[in-house]
Amino acid sequence: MTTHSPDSPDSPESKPVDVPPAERFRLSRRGFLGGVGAALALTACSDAGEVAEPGRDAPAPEAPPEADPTTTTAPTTTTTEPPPPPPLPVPLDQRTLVVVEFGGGNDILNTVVPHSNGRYYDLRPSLAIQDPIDLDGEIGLHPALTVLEEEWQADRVALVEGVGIEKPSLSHFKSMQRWWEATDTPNDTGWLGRYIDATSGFDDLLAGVTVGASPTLAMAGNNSYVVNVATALGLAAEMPWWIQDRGALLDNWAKFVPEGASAQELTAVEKAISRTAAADRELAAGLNPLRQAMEADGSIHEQIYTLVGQMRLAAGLIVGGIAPRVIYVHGLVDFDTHSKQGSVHDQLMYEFNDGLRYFRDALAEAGMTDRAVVMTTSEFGRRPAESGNGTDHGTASSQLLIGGLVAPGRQGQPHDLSRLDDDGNLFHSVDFRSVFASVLDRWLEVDPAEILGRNYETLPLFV
Amino acid sequence: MATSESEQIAHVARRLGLGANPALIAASTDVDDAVARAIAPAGDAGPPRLRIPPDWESAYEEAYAPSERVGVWWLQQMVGSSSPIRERLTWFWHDHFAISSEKVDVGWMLWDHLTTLRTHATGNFAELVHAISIDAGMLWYLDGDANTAAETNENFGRELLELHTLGIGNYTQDDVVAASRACTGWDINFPQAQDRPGFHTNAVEGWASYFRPENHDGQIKTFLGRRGNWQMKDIIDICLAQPETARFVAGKLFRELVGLDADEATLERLASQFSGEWGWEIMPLVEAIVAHPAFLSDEAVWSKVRTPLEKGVSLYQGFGDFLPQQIWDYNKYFWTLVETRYYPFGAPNPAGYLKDDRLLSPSVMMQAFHLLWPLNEPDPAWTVDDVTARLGLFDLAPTTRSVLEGAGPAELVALAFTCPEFAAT
Repeated sequence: MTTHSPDSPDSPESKPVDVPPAERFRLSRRGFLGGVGAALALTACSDAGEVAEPGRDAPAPEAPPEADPTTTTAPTTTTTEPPPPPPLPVPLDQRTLVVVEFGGGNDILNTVVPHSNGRYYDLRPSLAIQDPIDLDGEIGLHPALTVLEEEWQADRVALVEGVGIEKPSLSHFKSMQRWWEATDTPNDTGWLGRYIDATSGFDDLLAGVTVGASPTLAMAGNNSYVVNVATALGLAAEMPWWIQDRGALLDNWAKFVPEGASAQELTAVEKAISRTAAADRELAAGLNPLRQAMEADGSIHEQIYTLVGQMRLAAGLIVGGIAPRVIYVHGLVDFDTHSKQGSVHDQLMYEFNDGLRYFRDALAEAGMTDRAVVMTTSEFGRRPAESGNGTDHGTASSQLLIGGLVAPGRQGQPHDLSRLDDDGNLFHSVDFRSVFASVLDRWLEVDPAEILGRNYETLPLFV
Repeated sequence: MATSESEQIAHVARRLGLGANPALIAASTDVDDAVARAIAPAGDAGPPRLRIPPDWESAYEEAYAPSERVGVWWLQQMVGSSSPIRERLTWFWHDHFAISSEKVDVGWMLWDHLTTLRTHATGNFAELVHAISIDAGMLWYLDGDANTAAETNENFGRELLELHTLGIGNYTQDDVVAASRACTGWDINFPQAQDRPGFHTNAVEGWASYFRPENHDGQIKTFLGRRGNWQMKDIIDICLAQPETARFVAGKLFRELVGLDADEATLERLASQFSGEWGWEIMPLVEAIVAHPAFLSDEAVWSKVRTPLEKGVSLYQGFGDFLPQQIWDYNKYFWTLVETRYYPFGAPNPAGYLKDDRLLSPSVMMQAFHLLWPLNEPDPAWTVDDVTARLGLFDLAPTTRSVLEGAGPAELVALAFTCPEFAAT
């Protein structure tokens, strides 16, 4: 099936270039920065009206086709180009991005609370958080978020404030779609699916794993498969109640593939059974310690329903050696708090905090704190002014990045509660694709423009 | 190994209907008889008419049919299959003119849309394109109601050309703009804002589409080289006059029913007859495709990947005496299909549902086990042949048969439902 981009079939420049993964890899970050960085430097000079040195006003050099530093001529202007940051101290194949999606639109103002701003209390006479955990005299956390506070104090949290998009949509459907596809025009692939496409593709089934009842479209690619887990038993498959032994059934299922047949002799369906059964075995082996722990505490069949269980699964995948490049957790979908927000949102914050605790402790125990970064997303924030006992769909939000290698502290612009749009919603200061680009660039080490369709400013989110 | 006649009859049931209706297979005396039964015309009253919700709030109340009730009714028609070909074609056109209840979430509008699909499914393609293009659900899904002279929205215009008629590559961006301008002026008669009762206009029913001349771009447009003050119906007629449209649609239907691409000579012949002597009538095209030698060829049998929806419908058709069939049971099963992202009004995007290789992902393969959940504990007396016949399978590979022969009663059903032959269609 070809990529379907309803608004872009006639504008090929807006689509990711369709080249084999091996070719794409050659356009590494270093090669990319070398070429485009030099071009930007030249542009800056001419904009400033400086008289160019001889040779400076020549056409900007093309990006070199290969990243080999020995064949790339370094640009003569080094003053305006910051040196590329050194690679992160954990090898790429040991890093995992864990995206946690707060479905329904999380109320960011009651998650990270602008408690020094009197306007916040004016807008939220009944829903304002009265006892936030202060972080810096200006903002604080929902009182349930004690683990997040501990991580903040340990310099392991980056907060990007004012995240959103131009012409925001207040529809869950449209807004989720935009967060998942992360391109300017509609696209039936997700940004993380395109990342897997461009790196391991079909070769590594477990490079991207969704935790939840169903796969997420954010992980849908054209040259890779979406895999999801819901329990520590293996691939997500709720068996009919009359199946006693899941493992034995799947062992027999794998026997449908004729033994000793070559790849050419197998049908597409047989190959699918073969690789699915193999992926299930690998997952089951990796998750075995977690499975035993969960069977012992009786939570083995509850994971898909709680964020705590889902975060345990995410941690289990990492410490169990599966170590996917991307884990997508999309279990908490109750953030659409139009009414009774107080108790509902409190409960969600407690669940998130408990999930974080499990995740952090499991990685710390295994000495793997630096191997993962947790990034929160939500399709939009909620309206600053309360409405009844809830809040309506909003626009800009903030994103949290939690992990041993993030650059701690606040980035972006604090939400301006005194300047709202016609619907009474916040303006954004950071395009969410900038956050994605920053993660793609430093954490996943891939050219963000290739995944997102164009360049975005990157933020220094990592050490 | 040549395909047996039983398997050919099952192939007819799978491809001309939805699922693998064992009742149809059992009743058929030979392949020709199976084809005749599958395409026999049958009356269709269409979905029962609902009350029109008077405002936004009531649109989501049980009494006015939330989205899943439409899907459940449709699911029951697929299982019952009083006219197999209508179920196959209704789904085919739904995939072709896809809309999603994730955006169009007013149940009443989905009923209305489904009625239009079912009315024309075995009728006339030209009439279907005209009718579906001014269907309120379609306009809403593709932002056709946001397309005005003041601000053109190209979403509907582009999909009309790319997905519904000409096919990609047979028009330019200028044609998209011209088509979009010609399609301006259509709106949906939504309820007024909360504090004002009633709908925007009394000229048409609530939630229906209507034309607002003041929003229409009445300037001259050039579309596919033709100048004129075109409206939506003109654009559709010009598209229908292009040979690409007949080729695109006939080729797609050939692939749907046969599972293989039509060769060039066949495609040319079918396309020219479809738009010519058959006057866009759909059933002559179906009959010509079924009569083509490729349809019953060994290459065609099991050449497609069976969809989660087809698996679920097969389960209900084959094991109807072994699972609960109350309306609430169907309701629960509808939500199971929602998890597979393969359910009525669940198209992930305007290009329709996932197909072929995309259905071979580990998550879709594993979901097949979950699709079995409504089934009661299998009867220990069942043999391999009992179970596979209920699933409409007759020619089993030796490996498949030996694995099934070695399985216990419960495992037998789970394995038959997930064997390579059942994973294909």
